[in-house]
Amino acid sequence: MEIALRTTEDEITRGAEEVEALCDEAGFAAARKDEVRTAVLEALSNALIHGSRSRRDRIVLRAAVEGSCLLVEVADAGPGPRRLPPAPNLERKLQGLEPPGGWGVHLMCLLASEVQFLIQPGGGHVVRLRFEARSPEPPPLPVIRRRRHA
Amino acid sequence: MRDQPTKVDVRQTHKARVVRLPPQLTARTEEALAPAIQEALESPTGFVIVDFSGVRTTDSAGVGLLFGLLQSARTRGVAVALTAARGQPRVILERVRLTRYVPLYDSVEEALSAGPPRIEGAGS
Repeated sequence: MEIALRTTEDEITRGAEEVEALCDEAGFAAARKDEVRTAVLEALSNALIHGSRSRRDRIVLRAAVEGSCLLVEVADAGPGPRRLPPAPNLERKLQGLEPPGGWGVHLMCLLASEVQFLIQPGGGHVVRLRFEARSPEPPPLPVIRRRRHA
Repeated sequence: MRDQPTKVDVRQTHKARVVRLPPQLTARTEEALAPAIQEALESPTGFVIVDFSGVRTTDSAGVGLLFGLLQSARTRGVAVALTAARGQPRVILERVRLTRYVPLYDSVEEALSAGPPRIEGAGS
């Protein structure tokens, strides 16, 4: 599946629902489908907020079932993250020593079995998520890869 | 059809203030919800119940909103309990381990019966 989404909230919701539908093909349970939809929505929301420069930009969503896994890629025109945020410290957040937000990347890591940020040489970046039938435990560490020109 | 109401319903019982969240607790509704949720912490009983029974979807923005509420509650010495989170919202609350810090009950009635949980680190 590959679809080009316009940069609107409704479109990214539609994209997440399209991926959720593929979960049946991968044989995922209902709770896991909820997790997949949430992680994909996070990636799409990041693309909408950070990776779109104009309304004409498109977010490209690719998804495929490979064996018992679901692979998802979200490509946008943004530069991608320079560095990855540290994992949230709940106690510090509750004490007000850390801002309450900043959960996006961490939430993806809690829900996907693999999280990669691929920085493209000519601009743009891709978030690659891999989902297995079971939730990851412990959560994977996210990775940033900078692709070089061929 | 996709636009969801962002109103927070608040009612006061003799034991607690009950805050019923709207269907979407997401980046889209965060800005509209934050003031109403903070206002709900002005509970005369010092106990706020956050009712998830109407919530269908939450995301990282919703998680941030909850942590903001809990930060403020702790600062003010207000006890908080969560209720009736099901489906996707419950999965998220459990995955971010929020339920280690805040009790989650099946219903508002159950939370009212249990009473306010102890506030860890209050005033620290």
